[in-house]
Amino acid sequence: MLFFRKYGRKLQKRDLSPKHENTSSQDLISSELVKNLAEIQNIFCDTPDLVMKNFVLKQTTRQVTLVYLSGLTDKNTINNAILRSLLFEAENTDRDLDEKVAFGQIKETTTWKKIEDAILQGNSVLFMDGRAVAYEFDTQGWPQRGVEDSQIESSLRGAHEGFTETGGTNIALIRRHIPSRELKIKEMTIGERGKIKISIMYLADVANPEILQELVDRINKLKVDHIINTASLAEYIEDNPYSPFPQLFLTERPDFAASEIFQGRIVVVVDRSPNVLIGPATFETFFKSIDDYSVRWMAASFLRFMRYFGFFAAIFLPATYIAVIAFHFEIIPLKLLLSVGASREKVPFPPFIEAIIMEITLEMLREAGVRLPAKIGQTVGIVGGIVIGQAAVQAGIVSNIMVIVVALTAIASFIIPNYDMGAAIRMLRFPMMIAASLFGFVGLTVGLMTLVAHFVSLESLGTPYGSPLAPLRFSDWKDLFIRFPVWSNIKRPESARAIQRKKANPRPSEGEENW
Amino acid sequence: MVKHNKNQLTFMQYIFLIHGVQAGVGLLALPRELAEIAGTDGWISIIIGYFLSTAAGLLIIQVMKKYPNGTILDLITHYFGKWVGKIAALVFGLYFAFLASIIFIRECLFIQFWILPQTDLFILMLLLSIPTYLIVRNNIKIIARYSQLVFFMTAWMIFFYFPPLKEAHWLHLLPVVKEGWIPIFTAVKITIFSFIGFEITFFLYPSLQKKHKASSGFVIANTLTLSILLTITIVIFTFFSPDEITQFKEPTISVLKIVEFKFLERVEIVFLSLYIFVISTTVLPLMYSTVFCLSQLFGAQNHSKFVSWYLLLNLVYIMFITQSFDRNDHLSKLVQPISLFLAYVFPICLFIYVSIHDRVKRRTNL
Amino acid sequence: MKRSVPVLVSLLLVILLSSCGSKPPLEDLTLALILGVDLDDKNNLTFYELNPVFSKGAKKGLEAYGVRAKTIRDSRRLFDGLTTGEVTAGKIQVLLVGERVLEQAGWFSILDTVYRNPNFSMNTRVVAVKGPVSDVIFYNPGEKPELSLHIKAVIDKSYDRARAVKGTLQELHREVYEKGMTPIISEVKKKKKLEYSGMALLYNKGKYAASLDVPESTLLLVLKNEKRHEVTMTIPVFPIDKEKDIFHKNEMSIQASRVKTKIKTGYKNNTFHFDVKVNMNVNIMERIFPEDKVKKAELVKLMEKELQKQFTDLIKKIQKKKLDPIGFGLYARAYHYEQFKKVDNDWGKALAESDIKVSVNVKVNAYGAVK
Repeated sequence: MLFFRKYGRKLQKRDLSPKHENTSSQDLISSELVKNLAEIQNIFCDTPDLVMKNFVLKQTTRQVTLVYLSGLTDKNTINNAILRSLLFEAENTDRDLDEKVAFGQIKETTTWKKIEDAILQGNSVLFMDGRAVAYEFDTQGWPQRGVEDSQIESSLRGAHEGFTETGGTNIALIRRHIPSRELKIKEMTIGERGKIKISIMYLADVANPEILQELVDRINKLKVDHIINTASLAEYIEDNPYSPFPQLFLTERPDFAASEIFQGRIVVVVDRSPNVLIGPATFETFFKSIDDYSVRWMAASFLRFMRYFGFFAAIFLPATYIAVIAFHFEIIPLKLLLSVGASREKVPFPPFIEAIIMEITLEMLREAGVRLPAKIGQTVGIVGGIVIGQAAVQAGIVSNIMVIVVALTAIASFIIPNYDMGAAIRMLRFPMMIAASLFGFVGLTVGLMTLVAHFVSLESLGTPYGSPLAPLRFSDWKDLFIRFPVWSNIKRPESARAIQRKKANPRPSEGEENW
Repeated sequence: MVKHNKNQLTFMQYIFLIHGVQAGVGLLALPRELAEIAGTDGWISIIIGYFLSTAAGLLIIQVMKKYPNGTILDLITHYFGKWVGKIAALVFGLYFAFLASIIFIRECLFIQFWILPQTDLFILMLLLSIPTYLIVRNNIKIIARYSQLVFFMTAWMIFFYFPPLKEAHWLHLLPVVKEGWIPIFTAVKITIFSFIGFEITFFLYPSLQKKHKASSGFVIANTLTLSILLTITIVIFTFFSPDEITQFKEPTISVLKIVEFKFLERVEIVFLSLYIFVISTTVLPLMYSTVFCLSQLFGAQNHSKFVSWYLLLNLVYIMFITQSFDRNDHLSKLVQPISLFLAYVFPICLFIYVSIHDRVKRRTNL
Repeated sequence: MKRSVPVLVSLLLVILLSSCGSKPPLEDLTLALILGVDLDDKNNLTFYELNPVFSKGAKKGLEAYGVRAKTIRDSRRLFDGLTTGEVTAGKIQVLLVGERVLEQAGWFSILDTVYRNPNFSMNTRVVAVKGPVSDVIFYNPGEKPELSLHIKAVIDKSYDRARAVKGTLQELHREVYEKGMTPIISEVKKKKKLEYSGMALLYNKGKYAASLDVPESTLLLVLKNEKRHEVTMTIPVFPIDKEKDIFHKNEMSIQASRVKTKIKTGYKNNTFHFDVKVNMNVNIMERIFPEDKVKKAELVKLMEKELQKQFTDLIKKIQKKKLDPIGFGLYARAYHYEQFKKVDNDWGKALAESDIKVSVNVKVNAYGAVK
């Protein structure tokens, strides 16, 4: 591990930033249009989608050029709001541009660096002959997906809207849930080549400033080419990169993100990525779903129990099977033992190999189903069902009991509402199986112990990951295994380390009769 | 000198740390050892042992109050000078090292005998060293979290001891005080060692969040241990005949051999596998104390290196010297007088010295 | 140093992986389900073993073997030579002990490995066999479930209905070592079919002393104050008037819904006194004779008298044999420790000399759905 870290550090020392950047970053534009256009040509050579529209302002004879990237701008806006007014309506150059162009925001820029960034972000830039100032119009508009229901975190009763690939939209989606002036957004840009806007959203009077600072510091420290999506940002900034557990929560659901902001957590919106990051996350966060709060509390608690049960079943069930068959058959009651023995009789492999074959088949089937288009995906399901369910048993490669174990494991691992946690669990069962095949129950215990050891020492943004289990905080248990009625839960969880622990008191004042 | 971050342990963590260190491998053979000396009156000895250990523990806390922001090593350095402090670090370090190692090896021996007779002892220890290393290299706070979590994970295991109660013969406990008080008092020399482990309070005290609750926390932890020891001992005394109980080396496990459920038989295998967790809460804090003392002794900032060296040393030891229950018993008999001194006698002496010292000082100041 | 860490870790993994002395999986084992110990005509120890056969090609689901060996562990060597898989003891359900073995004093030491080796289950039922063990172990009940499950089920059912003790290895060990009590185990015999025949009472070191039939066993269990699902007795209430009474017109059956036996102890004139009070709340389940034959108030008296007689007879029988399966010794030790300590090495004799009184108190809860 250390070896890799060292290697990484060496790499970082070399300068890998884009070459031309230093040359033109601070240079100012000139007042001669021709020179400016030449510079633009120089910066954006081999850029066929760059549009440079030369024209003359209507009343004066001043030469102007509008520069933009055709794919990233909204043509309607450019035509109607800019070109039209400048070509036909502008009267006097002495007046400010503001009044002539029917447009929301116009920025004046003077450096090439900013102009370049602006054009790349989808803004259009107007150069005017005789002036050393360029005008920036916010004409961003690119192919966009509408707000749709989240695929990976679908819900029954929750809001049917999911984040999209545009940061601004995502922020708006969250803001709609939190119309409060305390909702603050810290904006920062990272990425040496693929500049990306990152917005950190939090409630200023609730979120812990230390955690915020920690998060900002970690993001600021990043010196990377680009960040392709939120998950890779999470990987850059998480506390322990060698942990199987996800330490920051990724979600596509604005309602979930908003509810976590209300708890005092911090949300990071990454532009171009339909996921947002929630931190600090705790282990139990990954077992919650927004639907827990949209059904009645008893039903929700029951589901919670199922999920935790599923967690243990998915990790330990195949391993327990191996341990029992290979080491501790004594613990099974005789009748069951005889039927297990009879079903294992034809199987030529030791239980570990048997289990590995089945588990790997299952994982491959699952992955194949995910990547294939829906129609072919179904076929995979059928083939898998036949192969696993019948043929393998009849051919005597695996036993009936093993098929049941594998099926249970699969179901148990799919019940986890969070994809990352589900993936972690699916992976963890393999080391457990190895341990069980070598040492039986002792191996299982040691495996669990290692897991617990890791679990208690893991942190997310400097906050204990195991809370409220380790460190034990009974006050947070109201939303752990049993989701107590929402009105009884009047405190924010300690794991969020909110500076304001109490929520608004939801109970109606005493003595008020409602009927 | 290592400066421990202040105010780390919560009240609950403190309780479960102490309780975890106390309840461990000794519990497995305790009822037999008691029955050998005091017959079925052995449970009275446990209660006497409880009062003695509580007194000793409270005394330790009283001593620590004199120097609340340091461990016992800092306190000794403060009162007796640097070199005595170093010697104390060495003594405590070696003591905890031996204690932890004996229990660690005993744990492996138990696993080997009861669950995995074919597996090499060395391999077992290697296996157990992995989680051990992962935890002990952290600070006391993580170990406390671990102890706390493990307590709640394993507390339900006491329910395994209720089915045998169906076949309990309460007459075995009568008459109380059969052979007079002498055997009962003789057996106290065993029970006071069942409570051993509370001397880590010497090292926990400065990290405690609420120091004014240290005494009550200690009493709660000790009472918890008492209730578990007492429950198991009484179950075993009523289940086994007084004439046969000495036949079983580890009656605490043997009694579970008769427990059967519709879906699970041979509960002792499951129990003992999970009992590894319980034993780990004994071993880990002891190992932590060992490496803490050693890092104090050598003035090292980071103790994780000592952990790996310590575990490696254990492995080498077990690799070259054949282990057996007899040898292990013999070794633990050797450590017992040191335990007795460090946990019971030493606090008394220290308390007297510190009180006199302070009084003399106050008088000279006046 | 740091770079060697992954190397070390992988080295350890290799050691771990290569060292796995894993056991063969379940289907390759030969699970002994019944273990039998017997003596042949020339007093040679013979051991029997019954195990299931998983292979589908096999005609029978079970196979049984008998070998002559020195000890139980030694017999494993010979069984291994006969069976396909490794013989394992972890699942032995029933331990059959032959009559001829029981008649030898000190046979219990044969079972040493059972207690010493942690593989053995302590819940194995120890069952005495009247006659040779081979009759039972090679007996193929055909339509019944396989033999080990069958014997175990018979014992357990009788246990629930207060006719048998479980007689597990653990209980046997306890009773053998307990000075204030003598062991009891269940007994089966094979005539045409295998049947449960009652209890075998043993002397303290395990030697066979006497047998109890099934009704006597129930009485004994009542005296032992053991709680069971159901206690049913069929008793005659008055002597038969006619000479020929094919329909047993003096019998009635009671089911005790609550049985509480209290034993009070005393020590006078160098003998122990035991005052046994049996309190029963009963439901009448069956009454062959007509209602007007006996008055209600009298009926209870008659039942009490009959039960008392039966209990007294049983205790007499036990005292005569110098046994204590009921465990009076436990009471004696608990309440008269000093005196008990003097005689605890020969408690059976002391009990035989002591004075035991039984009184029965019956309360009728319900007389049934018809008059």
